[in-house]
Parts: sequence; C-alpha cells; structure tokens
Amino acid sequence: MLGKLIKHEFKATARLFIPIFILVTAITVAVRFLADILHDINYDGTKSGEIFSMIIAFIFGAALVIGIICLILSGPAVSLYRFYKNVYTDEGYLTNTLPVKPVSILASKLITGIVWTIISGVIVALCYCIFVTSSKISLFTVDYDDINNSAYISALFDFISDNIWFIISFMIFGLISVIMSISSVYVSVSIGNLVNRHKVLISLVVYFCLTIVLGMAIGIILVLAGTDIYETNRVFENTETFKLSGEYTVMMWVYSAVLFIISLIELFVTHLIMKHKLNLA
Amino acid sequence: MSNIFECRQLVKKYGNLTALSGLNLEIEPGKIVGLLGPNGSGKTTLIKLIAGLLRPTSGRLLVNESEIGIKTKEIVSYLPERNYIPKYLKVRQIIDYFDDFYKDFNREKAEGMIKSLSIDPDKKIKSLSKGNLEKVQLILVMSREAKLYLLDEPIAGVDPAARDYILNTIITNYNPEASIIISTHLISDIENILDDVIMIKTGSLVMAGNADDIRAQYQKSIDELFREVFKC
Repeated sequence: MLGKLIKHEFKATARLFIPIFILVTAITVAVRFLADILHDINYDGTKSGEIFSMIIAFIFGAALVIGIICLILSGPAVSLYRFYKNVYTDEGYLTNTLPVKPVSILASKLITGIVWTIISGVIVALCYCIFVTSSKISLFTVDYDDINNSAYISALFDFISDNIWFIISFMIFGLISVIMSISSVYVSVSIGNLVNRHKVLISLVVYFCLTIVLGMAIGIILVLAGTDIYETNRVFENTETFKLSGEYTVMMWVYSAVLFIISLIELFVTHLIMKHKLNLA
Repeated sequence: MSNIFECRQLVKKYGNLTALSGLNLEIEPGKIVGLLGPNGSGKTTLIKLIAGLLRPTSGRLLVNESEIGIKTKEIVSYLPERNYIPKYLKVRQIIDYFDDFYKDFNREKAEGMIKSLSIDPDKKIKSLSKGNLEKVQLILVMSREAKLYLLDEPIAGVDPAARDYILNTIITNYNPEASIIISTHLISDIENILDDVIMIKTGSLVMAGNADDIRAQYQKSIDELFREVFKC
C-alpha cells in the first residue's frame, strides 16, 4: 500500500511543483537571453535607452531572485499545504479512512516531500548553469579559459579528493536538514490539530516556537560536543591544497546526528497524534 | 450471528462538551438502520468514531468483532456529510483511487452508474453540480462490497429527484448481507426502507429497536414519533 500512497502523493503534488519548476526555468532562460540582448545593444550614447534597459534588467533579475527563493521554499511549503489539507481537513475524511496504517500515510508524504525538495535543488543548480553559460553576464560567471585549463581541472579534482569526507558528510547533512524541515512542519500541523479552534494559528505558533527552541538547543548541544565553529582555529589543514580541517567533517556528523534524532522525535510525535489523537471534528 | 457493530459505554468529549455519554448499541448484519436525532445529537460523532476519524474518550467500539483499525476500514464504506473528494481530481481519477485502495471496490459497477448518469468521467470534481457530486460520492461508496455502510446525511441538501436517485441507489446496490447505518433527520423520506431505528438525543440513547415493532407499539409512524420525542 505504501507504493500506491506514494504514487498518488506524487500525482497530487506534481501539479503544484511542476508549474513552479517550469516558471522559474523559463524566467532564468528569459533573463539569460535578455541579458545577452541588452549587452549587445548599441545605445549610441542615449541615456534614456540605457536607463530603460537597466529597468528591464532589474525587473527580470528581481523576478529571477523571487523565483529561485520560491523554488527553495517550495519543498517545505508544499509539504505543509499538502499534509494539512490531505490529513486534517475535508480531504482527511478520505485519507484517514483508507485501510492503511498512519505510518504509511506519514512515510508516503515524507518520502515524496524529500524527493521534490531534492529535485528543487537540482532545478536551482540547472538555473545557475543556464545563467553562467552566458559569456556576457559578468556576475556569477566563470572564466572559460580557466575551465579549459587542465591545471584548473586538476586542482578541482584534488580539492574534491582531499575533501571527499567533508563533501559526503555535507550532502548527508543536507538530506537530514530536508527531513527535519519537513518533519517540523508535520509535527506543528499535528499539534495544531489537537485543539478544536484556531488550528492553523496554533500550528504556526508551534512551528515558530519549535524553530527557535530547537535552534537554541542545537547550538548548545554543538558547543557541549566541542564542535563549535567559532572555536575552530584552522579552516584548512593544508593551505596549498585547500584541504579542510577535519574538525569541520566531525562537526557535520555531530550536527547531522542531532538533526536526525530531532527529526525522529518529531515524526514519532506526529505518528502518535495521527494514530491516537485524530480529531476531525 | 455476531454483531457487525457494537459499542459499550461509549463516551466522546470535545473539551468540556460531551457529544456521546455512555452509549450502548448493537447492530446485526443485513439490516438497514436509521440513526435518527436532531442536529447536535451525536449522530455524526458516532459515525466518525466507527469510521476511525475520531478516537473515543472512553468505552469500547467494535466492528465485526475488531477494534477500529485497518481491518475495520477494509470492510466499512463511509459517506461523510461533506464533500471530501479532492476537487482537482477528475471523476476517472477518483475511481482509480478507490480501485487502488479498496479490494472490495467494483470498478465496472461504479463506471456503469457514472455512465448511466451521463457524467463525463474526464470532468473535474470541482466542475460537478452539487447534486452530481453527491451522486458520484454515493456511487463510489455503494460500489464497494463492504460489510458495513455508514451514510451520514446522504439526502440532506439535495432536490427531491436527487433524493429518489440516492435512496434507490442505496437500496439496489448494497450487499444484502451487509448493514447500512443511515444518519438523518429527514425521516419521512427514508422511513419505508428502514429495518431498525436508533434515536439519540444529546449523546444518549432514547430508543432503539425494530421499525415495525416501534410503529406497532406506539401506533405512530417513525416520523410522527420522532417529532413527538424531539419536540422543541
């Protein structure tokens, strides 16, 4: 049944994510080509033409920034909307009467949310790639001569191989951060459902309180674990090869472990509420 | 024969408000049962408890001798009093959904009934009229070969023609070995199809028994008796 739940969850959320992906990618392509066109225009010294092109560039640039922010926030935001609507409102009458365990419902939504958030990240990277392939945009672009230089590529591979554990731990940390952002949303919505009135307001209050309290708790735990970033004296072990200090890798693992435990607790509480305290009044 | 549903000392509270106070009930298989009571009497709360949408404050609730859970949800077909189908779905997609999750769902039957109403399966739920939406929801629920059907206010808010269709669909499509609990306060429309009657008021049982026996005992129709019992 989990497979079927995931299938229907993907279908239901695709209609929300796909338009965002298409829109942001289209804006990125438009900005990239517009920048090329504006760069090539010869204004013949007319000030008004230049100002007009700057305004156009600003509007499209702002649209792109807003689009990218929407894309980054879309994972947790859609997870919030979907979980609340599909479990605790009218749609919950269908979801919660299916012959499936609450843990399957929760798992299907979590897995789908993680996958969409990762895809959002890939789309952000894609948009960046579209942007930097313009040789006429000075901002964020790389020098192609450098890329073609074998020394540059060799240095890049050296950096990756020297810091492979840090890169792996950073990716795991990223994945666990996604799980925690979604599980925080789920537990807040579920606690909000326990009251009979102002459920959305209570959910928001719980979410903000939880974020602040957990942020402080995580900071304290990291300091107690001796992995405070501000106490790390050396950034690089080897300044010639840019090998990062091993303390950063340790810090990533400790940070990931703390976030993972918090996520498990949040998911456990969410499951308890769904199983024993469902309140579709 | 074991009961398809029974509850013992069932209590449900919403904060300080008591919706059900120590209810004891039994329903046998193969019965059409009218769950009757005025607004706020606890009918919907009882149905939601059986469907697994609410948890009891105390007391015991059994469907086919099992506690409420996956096993009971497999054999209970529930029609809520509200529109619960996601509005962005097409009629065909919600049929797929039921087909995927309910082993007892008869797809051909559902598609046949949708076709007989001339409803386009590719039409979105949000574009259906209120009457057609009620009918689609009922068709989905009655196309399951369930052991217990829970119909919460199935004829409220629809025109008389739609009411006839709904009642006819219920009578002609349910599994004869199954039981149906119909919650309503529009008694005159359904009185003739009821085998048993349960009347509740402010969460407590007022009367329960065979419809014919009650009519004979009080020399009144169920509708007349209801008006008398729940007179304001």
